[in-house]
Amino acid sequence: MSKEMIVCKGISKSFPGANGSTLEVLKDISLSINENEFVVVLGPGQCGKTTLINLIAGLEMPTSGNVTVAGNPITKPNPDIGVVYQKTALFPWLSVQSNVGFGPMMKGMKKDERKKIVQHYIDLVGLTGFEKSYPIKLSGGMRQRVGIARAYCNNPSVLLMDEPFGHLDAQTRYLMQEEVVRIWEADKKTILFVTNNVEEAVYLADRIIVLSNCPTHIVTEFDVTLPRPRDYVSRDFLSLRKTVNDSLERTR
Amino acid sequence: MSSRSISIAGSRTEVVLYAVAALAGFFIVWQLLVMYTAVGMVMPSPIEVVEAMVASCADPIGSKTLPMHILFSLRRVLIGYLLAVLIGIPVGILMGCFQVGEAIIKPVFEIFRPIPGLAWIPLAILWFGIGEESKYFIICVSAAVSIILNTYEGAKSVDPTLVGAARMLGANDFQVFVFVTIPSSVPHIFAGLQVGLSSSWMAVIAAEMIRSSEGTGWIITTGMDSGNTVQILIGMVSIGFIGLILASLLRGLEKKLCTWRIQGR
Repeated sequence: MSKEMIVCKGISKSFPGANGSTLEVLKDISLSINENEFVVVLGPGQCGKTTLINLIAGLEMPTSGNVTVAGNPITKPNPDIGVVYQKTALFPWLSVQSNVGFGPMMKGMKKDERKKIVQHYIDLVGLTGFEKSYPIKLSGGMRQRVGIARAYCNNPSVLLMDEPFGHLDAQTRYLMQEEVVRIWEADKKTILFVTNNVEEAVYLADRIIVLSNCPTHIVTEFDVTLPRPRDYVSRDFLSLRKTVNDSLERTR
Repeated sequence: MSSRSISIAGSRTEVVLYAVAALAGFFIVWQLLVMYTAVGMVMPSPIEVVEAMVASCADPIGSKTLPMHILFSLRRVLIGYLLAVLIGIPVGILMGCFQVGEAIIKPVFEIFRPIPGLAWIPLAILWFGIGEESKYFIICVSAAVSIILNTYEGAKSVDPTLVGAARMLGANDFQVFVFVTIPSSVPHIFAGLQVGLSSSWMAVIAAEMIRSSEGTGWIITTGMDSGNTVQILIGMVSIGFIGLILASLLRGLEKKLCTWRIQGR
């Protein structure tokens, strides 16, 4: 039995809504993710996927239930958890290398040492030669690479990815899906990846957790045993894609 | 020419060429109007103004030569403006970053904000007399408002996602302040510095009209008193050029500090 890295026990989250009502976003979510497992959380458009990420990251507190990461209860933002954002959230005033080295710099790591690991991750995500560029000069796919390198460089034990490829065009998206698997295989981490794209989920995941719409709860789970690298148009891929797709709630 | 640039003024040299051409055009039209129309009865020609400016570098207007007048005004502006920067940026940041600071300072600031710098002239004279101090005060008050306001907006408009990202990477409150809040406010601060700079130029003219025996504002006022249009224009042209130079210096500094905002290859 491998180690459980992310454990959510019965977490719910409500926000105060208009005229004193409460809006329940997450309802009784329990999940556990093992070390180095690649789990994709798949849910329809407007459900509380980002809220789930924020709760695990410690950026928000659940209304009830609790979250532990690597055995530690989460009560505040914790650098042991890396986050990759949909809108990249890169610091626009920092170059690629300073963005990637931000976490180590906050920890007070010495410059020489920092430079070495920063370069390692820039090379790993395929951005060699762009060390001194500012984010504004990079394409959407390259910015996501910086975001991934920045999260990796802080050496977290788990990575949360919040629809990181949602804003990319279709071709770049396929490329980045391949890249994220390649990077993960080169440097194993526990990954929780959120998406609303069934094909992306089937391509990436060891396990897919399907969420319902608001209030969000877990509908079902799929283990994905297809060998990597996966073929988007193989028969097994397409049939699993159909099964997963059928499990998704239809909402207008 | 590359097909990419649709605008006619494409490259940097072209922009400079157009600027020079536009200025030359302006002076030629002015010259022609003075030479051939009734404008000549109320306005000196640009050539006369330039000649008078050159002459006044050696022959004093009043008690001082033109460069000395300019230096006096410049000193007043820079001292008043620097005071405004030293006060304005910290106050704006206090208001933008700390809720307590905002709750305390903002109501007071909102009362002072609509009062133009020039409305402070009587109080400035009562408090500081008619010497240099009252001029610094008026210039400082005039410039501080927009510096405070823009710094405040900048500090307030920090993207919460970036703050969250910094926290997730292990930044504490102080590090978030230094590495996220401040750099993301810099463009707003510069906008405030630019507006503040032009406000302080306006204020120096008014301040020198109170009571002074030198400065570009004094040149204009005494020119008016003696009906000397050339002298008025000397003052105005000097103010225009010095203002332009100061604003460009500031823009250069901004460009250097904000390379990250410049799009392109």
